[in-house]
Amino acid sequence: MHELLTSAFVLAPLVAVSLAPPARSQTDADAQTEAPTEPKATGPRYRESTQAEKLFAGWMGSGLAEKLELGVSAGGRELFGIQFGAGGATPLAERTTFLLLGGLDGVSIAGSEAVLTVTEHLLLRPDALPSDVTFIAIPWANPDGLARWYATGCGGGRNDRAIDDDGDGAIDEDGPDDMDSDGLVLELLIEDENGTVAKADDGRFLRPAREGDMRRYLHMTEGRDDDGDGRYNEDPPGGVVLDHNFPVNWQGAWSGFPAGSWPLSEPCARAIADLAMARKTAVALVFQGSHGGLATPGGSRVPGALELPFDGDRVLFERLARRFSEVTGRARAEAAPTLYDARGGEYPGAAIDWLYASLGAIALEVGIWGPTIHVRSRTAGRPEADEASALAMSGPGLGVFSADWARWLDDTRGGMGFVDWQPVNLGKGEFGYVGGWMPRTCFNPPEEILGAALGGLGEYVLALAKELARPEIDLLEVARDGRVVSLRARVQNPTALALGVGPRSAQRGVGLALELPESARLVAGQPETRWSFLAGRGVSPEVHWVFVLPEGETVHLRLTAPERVPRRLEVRP
Amino acid sequence: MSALVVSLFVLLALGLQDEAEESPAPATSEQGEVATAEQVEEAQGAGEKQAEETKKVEPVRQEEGGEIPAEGEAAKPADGQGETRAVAPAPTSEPAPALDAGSSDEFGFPTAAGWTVTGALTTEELQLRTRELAASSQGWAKYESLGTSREGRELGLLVIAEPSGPAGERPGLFFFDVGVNPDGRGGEAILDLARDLLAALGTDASLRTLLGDVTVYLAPALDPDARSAREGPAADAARRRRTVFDRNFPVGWRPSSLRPGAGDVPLDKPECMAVVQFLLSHENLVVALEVLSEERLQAAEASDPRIAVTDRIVFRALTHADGAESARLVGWSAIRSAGGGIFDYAYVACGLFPFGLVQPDALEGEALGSWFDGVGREVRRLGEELPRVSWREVGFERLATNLWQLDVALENRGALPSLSATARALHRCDDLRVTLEGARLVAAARRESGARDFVAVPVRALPKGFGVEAPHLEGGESRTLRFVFETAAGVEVRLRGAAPWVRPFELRRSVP
Repeated sequence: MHELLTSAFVLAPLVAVSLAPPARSQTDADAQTEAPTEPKATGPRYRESTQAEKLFAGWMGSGLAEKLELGVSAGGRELFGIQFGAGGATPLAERTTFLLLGGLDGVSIAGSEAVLTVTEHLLLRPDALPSDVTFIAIPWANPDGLARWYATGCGGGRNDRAIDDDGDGAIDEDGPDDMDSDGLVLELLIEDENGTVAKADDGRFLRPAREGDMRRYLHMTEGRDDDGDGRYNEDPPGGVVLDHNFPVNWQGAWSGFPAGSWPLSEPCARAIADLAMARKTAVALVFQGSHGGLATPGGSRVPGALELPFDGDRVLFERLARRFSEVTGRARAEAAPTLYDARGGEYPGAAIDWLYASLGAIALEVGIWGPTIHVRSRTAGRPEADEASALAMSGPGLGVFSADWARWLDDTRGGMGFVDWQPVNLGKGEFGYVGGWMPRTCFNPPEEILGAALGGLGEYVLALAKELARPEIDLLEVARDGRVVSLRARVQNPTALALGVGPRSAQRGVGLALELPESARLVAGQPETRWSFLAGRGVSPEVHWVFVLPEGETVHLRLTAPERVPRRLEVRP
Repeated sequence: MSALVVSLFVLLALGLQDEAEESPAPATSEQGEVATAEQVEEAQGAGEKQAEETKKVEPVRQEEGGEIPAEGEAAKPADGQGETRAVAPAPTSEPAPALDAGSSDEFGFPTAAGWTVTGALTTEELQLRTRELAASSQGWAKYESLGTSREGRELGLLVIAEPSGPAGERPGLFFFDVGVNPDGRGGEAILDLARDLLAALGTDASLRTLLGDVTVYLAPALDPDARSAREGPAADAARRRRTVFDRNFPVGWRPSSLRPGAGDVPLDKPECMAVVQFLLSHENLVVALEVLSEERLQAAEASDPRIAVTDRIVFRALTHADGAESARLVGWSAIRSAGGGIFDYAYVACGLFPFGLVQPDALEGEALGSWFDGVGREVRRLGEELPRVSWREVGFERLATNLWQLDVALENRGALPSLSATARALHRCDDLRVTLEGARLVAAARRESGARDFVAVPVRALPKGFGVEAPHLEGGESRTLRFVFETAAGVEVRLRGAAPWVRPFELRRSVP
């Protein structure tokens, strides 16, 4: 192992954080403005899933955390998860659920660290936690892919499912190799008239090939044609990237994405989906990616793909993006990009697409890292016009190109972190070029600036949890005239976020029902009224009932809403 | 279709009753369209509308094997017209009646079953008869279970193939009916086909040859719960709300919030998962063939960008219109799909060729029998068009001491290619490959049909020795392969060809 690579993967000493409840209670306002309390002495370090039990032991001190049994990955690794929430009578399993997933793409080890940091931030503030919310944290949501990335800095996020990718009867026989013996597995360019990329003006970086390009390249992970079939790295170790294994806009092998034989074919994806369906999942944040901001659902644009997000939710996502910038201090985005735009191309079968379109959850990808985060105190320049559209290409584990990244590399790292393209012998008289981004540069931040990437995430999660829609019954009138009662009510949402995200339907919407005793008789009005959507700080239309009710009897109003605990209000006319 | 073949499919006496009313076929929404709850209910099958349907299996008294009474038949008024209605037979878990079991003719071929299909069968009758056919087939048919439905019914599969050699090493035709269409007679047609195929083995040598080259997989009810629900008044609200078979497959799937009946996640319907696992585990499957209602057809052929050009040509070449009352074969490009269907998965994710056999509306009486015959003809025709590669030596020459050149001509006698364009793109399985044993393969070349010169092809290390990736063969295409090898005199060399869609073949050549 090369010295450089060895040094990159030294395991950081475990920072055990004691999470005993603080002596003084904090107000919500305190919590929102307080600086994050990451350990200052050493700063955040990348932690592996093998440290999960020790971390959990530390969190047990809070008295709020419970471990979840979520099964194991295709490679036999535990899918570690915990749930926690403020103390209260309502069991955690019955509360509105806020799901925190780290590194589902199997590449973003910084995403795992983000979930751990957010978890610790929240557990340190028990009095600030909303009493009706349960947080579920799954820091290493793709245990196999993340473990491979930790160990090798490559692997594309695939789990350990053994797959014969090229259909030749052999499994995992042609994967990446360190061809130039520099201790790194980077990227490989092979000149080919059918290549899809060409070198940009800055010869280190690539752009999509254009008509007239004299030199085009095939672009792939560094590696030989191990099985002599004329193709390179077409059957690497592992099989499925979990964040392509979810149902909405899923694309199988025909798309070239390692998405599994069918959606939720992988145990970890299935476990996460089952958990989300079993709970009242209102929010799901997936911490991963290096686009540096929030990304909304909408990872696919192939013909026939379900177009996400739905038009009615665009305002909500814009609001969430603005709030993200306010709380984290990151550059303000005009609007939250879709997953397709944030990832720079097709990104099918993403978890957030399913969580949003199928469960109606507010689902977002939180890009932990990005080229403008470490330089946000400077003017984060925009890419030059001719490069801006062309260079926004990325894919998990292979090539990220943008002028912003070039600027970050040169301005903050002095150019260190990118290996210039060097010729390499492919055998049979063919040559290629090896080079590209080094580990912990563009996909995950260098460890010494990990803290900057994680700043403000805990505060954002807490703010979001507090701003979740919490519909209430607003009793407008109760009037009795002898035996006849007139009752008027509506539903109001005092918080900032809307209710009824995703596919709108009355069945999934807010419902207000009048429950009468047997002795009563409804004269006017519907027993139950439902609305598919309730805006943030909004109210529903007024509902008016007239009924005959004996003196002394009571009636009840019942409020139901998706992913919320039902409420019941007794009315004594 | 030869007269001999036609003679196999004996016209059956049919006893269908007039239906009291027409039932709408399952509605399928266009892609992106939000289906209504009513559409789902239609797709589930309006069971009560089916309640008037009678008859099923009639005993054939003259044939060997004796009279077989229809199971569970009871004189129970059904529609006020004095007709009888079938009562569910004994559960399939009970031993099948000793119907023709083990019976054979003087040459060891199975004799005809002692019954014919004359009308609608209950799902349990269908399963029972399918098992019986396997039991009496002298090894030509095997009964397998794809799995069980949500309500515990078995998804029966009849595998018909020449008994020697593994059925999974021959190109396969998967013919199925889902069972949700209240007016559908697909399951009955499939059972009738199986019966006739097995009955004809003793007299039809070409059929025996065909079943040595291909394997026929027959599944008369892939959604037995939905099929059962249409048989009586039990189509209650809960059943109507359940997941719809042809909306629960992953390709083009939409959440149930957008497409009612699609399920919370794809493949949460066990029947769908069972079918997917069957498709994935049988790389030899070439064609998926379903009985369709008229409503499933496109008004005009779709320009679905997912369909490769060469595959589209295959669909067009094999699509066949044969009169209103006969079975009409249509390719997938002519079949309506809102996404989430079995064909979406079979083609896009597995590379199979989906075809449909259209059942005309309001089939009854002789028209139904005529359609059954048409189904038999079309399935046989399709079976004959599966890739069937023959090869022969066309040249053998000594180039130098211990250096030899062998030319072999390959021809695909079927109309379907050795692998679909989609399957090739998927890298799901190999196209045709040839390996050489008993000699060292030095070089290889191929010559296209009609070309004069050979073109070198690389010799590769294949999992089972050195060989070449032989040319992909479109339907009806022929090529010549040239092998240059070193070996000592007196050695027998063997060339083996294999592909999941082609029956393995072997050529032996003794070096003088």
